[in-house]
Amino acid sequence: MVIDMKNCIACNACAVACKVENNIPNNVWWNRILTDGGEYRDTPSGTYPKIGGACDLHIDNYPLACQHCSNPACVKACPVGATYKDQHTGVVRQDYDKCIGCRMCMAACPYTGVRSFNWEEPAYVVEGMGDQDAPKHQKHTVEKCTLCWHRLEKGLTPACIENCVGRVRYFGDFDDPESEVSKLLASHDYKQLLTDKGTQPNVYYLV
Amino acid sequence: MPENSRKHSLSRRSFLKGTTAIAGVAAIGGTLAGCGSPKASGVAEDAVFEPGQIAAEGEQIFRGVCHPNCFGFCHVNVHVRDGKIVKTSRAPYKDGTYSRICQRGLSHVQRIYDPERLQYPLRRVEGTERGAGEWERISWDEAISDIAEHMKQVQGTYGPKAIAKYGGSNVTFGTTFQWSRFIQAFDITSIGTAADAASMYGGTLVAGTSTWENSERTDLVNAKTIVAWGDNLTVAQHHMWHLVKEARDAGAKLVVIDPTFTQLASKSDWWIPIRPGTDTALLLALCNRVFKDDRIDEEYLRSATVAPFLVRSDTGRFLRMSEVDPAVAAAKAAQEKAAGEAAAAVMAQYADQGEIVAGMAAQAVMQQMAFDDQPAVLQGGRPIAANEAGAPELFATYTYEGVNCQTALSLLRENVRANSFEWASELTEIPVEDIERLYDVVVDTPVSHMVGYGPQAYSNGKHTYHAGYTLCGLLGNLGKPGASWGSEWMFCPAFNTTYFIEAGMSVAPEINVLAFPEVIESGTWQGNPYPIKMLFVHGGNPINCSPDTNVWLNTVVPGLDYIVTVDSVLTDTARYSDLVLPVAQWFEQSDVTQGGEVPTVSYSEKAIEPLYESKTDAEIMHLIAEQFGLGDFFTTDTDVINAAILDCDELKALDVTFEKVKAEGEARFVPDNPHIAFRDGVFNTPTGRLEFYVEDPQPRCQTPKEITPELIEREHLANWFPPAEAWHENEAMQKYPLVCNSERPRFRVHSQWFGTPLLRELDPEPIVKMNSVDADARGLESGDYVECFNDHGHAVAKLVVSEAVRPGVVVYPKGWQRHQHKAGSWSELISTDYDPFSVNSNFMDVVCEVRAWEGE
Repeated sequence: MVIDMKNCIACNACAVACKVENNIPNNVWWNRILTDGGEYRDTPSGTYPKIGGACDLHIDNYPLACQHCSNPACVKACPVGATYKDQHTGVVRQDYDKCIGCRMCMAACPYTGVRSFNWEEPAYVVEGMGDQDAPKHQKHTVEKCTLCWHRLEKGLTPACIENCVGRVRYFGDFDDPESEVSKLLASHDYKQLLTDKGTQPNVYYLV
Repeated sequence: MPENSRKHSLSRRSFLKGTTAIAGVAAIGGTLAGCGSPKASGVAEDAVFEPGQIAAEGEQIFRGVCHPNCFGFCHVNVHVRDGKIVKTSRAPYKDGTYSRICQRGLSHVQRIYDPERLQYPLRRVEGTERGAGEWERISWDEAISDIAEHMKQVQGTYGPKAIAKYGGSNVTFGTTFQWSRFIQAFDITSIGTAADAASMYGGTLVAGTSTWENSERTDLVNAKTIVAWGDNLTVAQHHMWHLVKEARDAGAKLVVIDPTFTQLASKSDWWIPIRPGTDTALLLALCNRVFKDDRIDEEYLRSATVAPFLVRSDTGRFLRMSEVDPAVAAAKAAQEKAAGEAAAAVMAQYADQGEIVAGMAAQAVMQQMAFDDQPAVLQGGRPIAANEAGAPELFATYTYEGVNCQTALSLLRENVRANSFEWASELTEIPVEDIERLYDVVVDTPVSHMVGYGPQAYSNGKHTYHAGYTLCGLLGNLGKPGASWGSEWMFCPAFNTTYFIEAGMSVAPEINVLAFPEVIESGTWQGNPYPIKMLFVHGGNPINCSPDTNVWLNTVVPGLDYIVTVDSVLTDTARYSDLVLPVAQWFEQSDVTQGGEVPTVSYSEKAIEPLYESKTDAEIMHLIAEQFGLGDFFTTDTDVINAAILDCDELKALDVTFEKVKAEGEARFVPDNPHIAFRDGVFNTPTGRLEFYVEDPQPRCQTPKEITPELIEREHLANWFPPAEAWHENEAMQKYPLVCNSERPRFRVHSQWFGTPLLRELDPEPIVKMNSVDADARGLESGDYVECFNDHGHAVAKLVVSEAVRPGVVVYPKGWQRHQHKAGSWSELISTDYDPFSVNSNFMDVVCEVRAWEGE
């Protein structure tokens, strides 16, 4: 996945698309938009410029969900093999039926907050929201972005890609040099998050 | 009741259809456009949409249109399983540019099945105060007979016009215009809008636009530079952001002029912070420099603007050929005599259909036969007709019978002569060097000036639009690819306006919402008794969204005997009503949506039955009309309504028919793509030119305010004057030193979606943003609850200290309901005072002080 971060305006359409598509329970978000700047959404770092003074205000928006790493810390941490990497696609998947709720994956993952744990029976404002093949949420399991596995299976792109109103999200196969995402990386500056952790994340942010 | 509606009925349809569409619109009021004369589209496009298509086993997809008046009109797939809407997702337009959806459009499931959704009619419990929240569930039969009784009682006692109707921002043909028909049939007083009216008014006066006609935003890609004026596009209308992004990818620079460091500013090549309410001053200084540097586009000014027209110093009007040429005067007299006779004949012909219809017919004849009295221009030292001049003088004076005349361009140059960069710098707090730099950007055309609704929301806001068109006129920066000024709203150019009056025609005036409290209080309108005792509200929330909530709560609400609100949730307005009717939401009925930032009408398909006991607007009107024997005039079938409204020759010529819209899901009503506004220098003004000099300034609508000669003088040309409240030299700011700006929020559209649970997870409560300089001075920190207050009222919100906000300014996202605030609400702080010409809600022209909130 490639996110043209310099053109992300923090609208949260991707987050809402994810929430609805996957029928995510109340108060749980698999995809969030973080502000690199001030403490709150839309707040920059720096100081409002004095009249005639230079402007050092800066704000970036980071949509953040599971990075579907090539070397995922979560997979290694899972004692029961509930978290695993799909060899064919590279998607980091979870088997909720195997999950014992130990939350070791949450502790191991350096990308804080991309996972959530259902402490209670999941609660919904509207029952049965989203895609009929979206994952069924269970008490005492850890959840995260599935890259909309149920959509990938049908040859569709993840909901966050399709519904991005700014058209800044791209999805494809990095192994194919002719893919849109490969070409984007070949022609743009980009960064990955927390590369020093050695997880080799597969979400690239154009900068 | 209603007497007049029974007198007139279907018989005049054939006459009115087409011939008096413009007059009909004028009589009906509101923001309706007249008929233009666009050419037919020769391009046939493939149909891609089939109603009710099956997506997958057990799931059906319907095509809806999200239409909350964000101007986006996004097509959405409405996914239905087991009779329940489970998801909304992006659906295509034929032109893929417009295929998009946002966080609000994606959250419809939780808006439709909002636990707070109204389920059945509610009546205020007798003996309880309005707003006390004491409701009783009643049946529809009880509700409708309650309404009918009150209508009869009010109209019987006070006359038909004693009922008023406030409509909000429902932007469809079927629902919106059925309400227009309803008010016509029952002779109801319509309450006119004042939101964003200053820019619309400025555009109409100067460029002849209806709403905010502009080049399509897909044309941004042709600009060298995009200059955004007070346009919080990345939050308020972020469906347009990708077009700005794509234009930049193609090489356009982005300059943002805004007091706030918005997301758009953060993406720009250059952000110019500006003092609120001074955009006009900046534009006038740029105009002045264009003259000084002789950068004017003489050819454009001669052919496409009023620049060479001679203006009489005594009347302020253009000198006309009938005044200087006796032969023309004689021809004019003869033509006027013939027109008068023809009008009288038509008047007699339609006399049996009543005074109004006959008057409209006569007016139409007068218009058709009006003498083309050309303005005079100077060429070869003598006045000749503008349309015959090849190279008229641009700067000249001429004395006609002792009256000094000057060209409009001379007057303009003189008017901006004192508007130096230094003068503008002092007002705008933009350094002179930056204005110099901006000037270089602006004269390097084509430039797309993308204008938001912020600069126009001050008492001087019309002049920003006036000045912007003036600057672009001087530079010839209009009507060409990449060259434009303004906001964008493409309104369907024609429709069958006779539909409104088939069930009767109202003679009630439109009273503007800003004058409404005064009318309620005084019981008079234009010096005559005018009691208004009952109010219908549909698709709107004036207690939340109109200025000065306390005026509504303390004057309007107590002044009314009966308030009926039609809505799907308990808005602020519903909470202060006597009766609340649960209305069907968008995907529970079919409708045809109007255009906006997409020049296309679209079919929004019914996906499910109305939830609970809710009914569609059309059903509600039908039930009420039945009580008066008019049920047959108010069908419940929205397809029938929309088919009738779209049945219009001008739309047929554009290949826009109801059948096509329904079958294909959409029909584009603008032939060129991208549409370029004012192509070839053609403007829909009285002179057919860009009228940077307004010959006969008239207020946008009637109000009780006096129009003085000084005010008229101010309105001929663009001028800057201080905002009514938000100006540091004003007395109000000695007491309330902060300018209080609002933003159109990311997680609501005005007050729509205020309760949608998943959006409230992202955005749980009212906030207000303030610079650290101002927060520190008051000992406030992020997370504190603070009270913003002035003489009008107050609102309590959580503080977010932000360096995006200009010192001396606070910014709040609007649209929270009163019960969502700890106390007060945002519109309490906004004055109902208005400029007598633009009659606009001054949403930004607000001041306040902020202190820690001590309450619970």
